[in-house]
Formats: sequence, structure tokens, C-alpha cells
Amino acid sequence: MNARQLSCFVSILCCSGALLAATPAATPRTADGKPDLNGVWDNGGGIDFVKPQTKANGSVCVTGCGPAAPAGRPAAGAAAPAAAPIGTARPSYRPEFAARVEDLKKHQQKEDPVLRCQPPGVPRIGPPDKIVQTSREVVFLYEDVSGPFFRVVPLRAGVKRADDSESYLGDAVGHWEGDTLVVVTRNFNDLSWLTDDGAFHSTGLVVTERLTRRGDQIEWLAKADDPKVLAEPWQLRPRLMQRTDVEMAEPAPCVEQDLSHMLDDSYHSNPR
Amino acid sequence: MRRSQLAARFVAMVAATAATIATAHHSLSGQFDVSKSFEITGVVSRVEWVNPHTQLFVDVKQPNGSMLTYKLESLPVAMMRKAGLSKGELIGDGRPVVIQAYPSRSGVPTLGYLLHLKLADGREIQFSRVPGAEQP
Repeated sequence: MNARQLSCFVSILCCSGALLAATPAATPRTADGKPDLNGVWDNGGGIDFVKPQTKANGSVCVTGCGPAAPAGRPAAGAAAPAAAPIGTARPSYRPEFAARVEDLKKHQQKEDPVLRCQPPGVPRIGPPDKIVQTSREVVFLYEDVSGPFFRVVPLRAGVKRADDSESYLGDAVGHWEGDTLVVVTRNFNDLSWLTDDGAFHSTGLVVTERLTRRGDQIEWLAKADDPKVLAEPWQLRPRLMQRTDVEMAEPAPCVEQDLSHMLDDSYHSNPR
Repeated sequence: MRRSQLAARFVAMVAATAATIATAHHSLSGQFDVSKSFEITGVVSRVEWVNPHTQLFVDVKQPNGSMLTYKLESLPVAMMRKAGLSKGELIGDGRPVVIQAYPSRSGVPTLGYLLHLKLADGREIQFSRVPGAEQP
């Protein structure tokens, strides 16, 4: 090989590397051919507005920071790229319930279940922090502000649970539609909210989540349907989960210590 | 882009920024005076690693030699972890810290909301923006 041939060969190698780097990572699959959703996923840690920054001297800014350096990839928890924006920030209610929602919002500090360490419910809990998947079931694990939570999602109907009472996180059943895991959850109690501003729901709530893995990311879509109180089904804004190697730590307990020195019920933002 | 379009965009940006700040401040205003901050120098003696808000206890030596303990509320555990902060990092090893916090509206002088912590080695941790401070 002469110098010119060698140069050409090296150029081809470099171009191939660049192409590989530009190609999105392939979606890993489990032994049964389904997209592999196993792993820990950064969806914003359950809190989607925190963009921490670490400086060269070890200083850390958690919130209220200046502009961050441009990121090389979409931030976890950010809205997923879509051809057209879909979803809204909050549900719309039937007219007869508008006053109740406003009243709950006005007294949110006292009324929001999450601020009293109660489970956030679904879909308010957001995308899972960790997924454990087998051919028979999928388990979602969460580290939430109001504590640790799990949801067992059998991939077949008719699974008997230890308690079939209405609950905060409901009874979920999953199935695959192509490469998308679809989770439909029913049997909720009416003690949680859909958002942090008084968006109550009834026991008729049905939540449908759709998880689609593409490379190292999962797009999480959710829709809440509650015809007893909502004017129309609420399609949430899409969320993007980013694969991470940082394993979950033991979730901290929730111990409410604020209500005793609260002077009014003003709104305490608690977005996810 | 026309000057009127530029002006409209600038007004929209200012309005959006103001709305964001108002929301952020409003979220704590039921408990803390978010228009003010106070500063103390002491030692972090205890950290309660709990949700929905972590709690830091800071011992501050008084002029008469006695010790006064401040209880400072801060961010949820998940936010701390996302920023790479652990309970051990916050409690340190008896090292001195300078802290800025919102005062409580309840009138209890030793109660506050943790905004900023500066360590003796110069490292700083900003949990929330200090009123009147420059953007870091």
C-alpha cells in the first residue's frame, strides 16, 4: 500500500466512524424480541424543572442558576421531539367542576395530598425512575417527593392482587402494540390529583401510558380519561427518559414539617 | 426582523421571565419572606434527609458563648441527588459554613429556608437564588 492508498484508507475509516457516531443507537431487545426497557432512566428525578450546574471548583448550583452550557443531547424530562406539539399542561373540566378546581387551587397548601406525603397518583407521578421487565410483567420503580413507590404491570389480564380495593396508583395491565408498551390503569381512588393545582379526579379515571424506546431514550406519553369530571380526555405533554448508569438509591422517607408554620394556603408549586 | 417584532419579542421575554420569578417566589411565600434573606456563620450539626423537604440544622455560636441552633428547610431529596449532593456532603465534618436563608414569616428567628451555603474551601452550593444577588 503506497502513501496515497494509505491516506485514502484512513479517510474511509474516519468517515465510517463519523457516520456511526451520527447514527442513533440501535434499540436493544430482550430475548423475546421486545424492546428492552430495563434499566434506570433519568426523567428529571421526578422533578422536571431542576437543571443543576457543577462548576470547575466543585461549586454547585441547583436552582435559580444562570444559562447552562449547550447540552449535547436533549435533557431528560424535556418534551420529546415531535412532528407537531401535542398535549397540554393541565386538563380541562366540565363547567360544573370549574369552581371546585379553583377552590382547591386557592387552598393548595392545605389540600394538595402530596404536600401531606400522600402518594401522587397517576399520571402525576410521571415516568418511572427504573424499569424491571420480564416476558410476563413490567415493574415501575419511583423515587418521588412523597416517598418511594412501585407499580407491578402484568402483561396479561386477570392477575389477582392481594387487595383489589381502589388505590392511589390503581391496577395496571400492560400489552405490546408493536414496539410500544401500552399500560392501562384503572381502579383508582379519588384522593390524588392529576396536577399540582387542584386538578382532582373521580374513581372513574383511566390512564393510558405509552412507552417507546428509541436508542438510549424512551418517549413517555400519557392520557387521562375521566368523563365524570373532565370535559375531554387529557393528553399530557410528552416526556423523554434518558438511559443512565446511575443506580437508584434508597428513597428518603416523607416527613411533613411545614403545615405548622404555614401562614396561608398560597400555592406551592410542585411540578413533575 | 422589524423593530416592532423585536420589541414584541423582548416584551414577551420579559413577561415570561417575570412570570417564572413570580411563580418561583410565590411557591414559598406561605411560610417564608421571599423578599429578604439573612446570613449566619456556623456548623452544620445535623441533616434530616427527608422529603418533601430536607432539613439542615446549623449551630451558631452566640456572643455570650452559648449555641443557637437554626433549622433550615431546603429542597427535596430527589433534587439534591440530581445535583450530586448527598447527606454526607451537606453535613461535612464540623466544618464552618456561611449560610443565607429566607426568614420565616412565623416570627421564629431560628427558622428559615436555605438558599446558599459557602464552605471554608471556597466551594459554594446555591439551592435557590438569593434575593438581590447577581445571577451566578
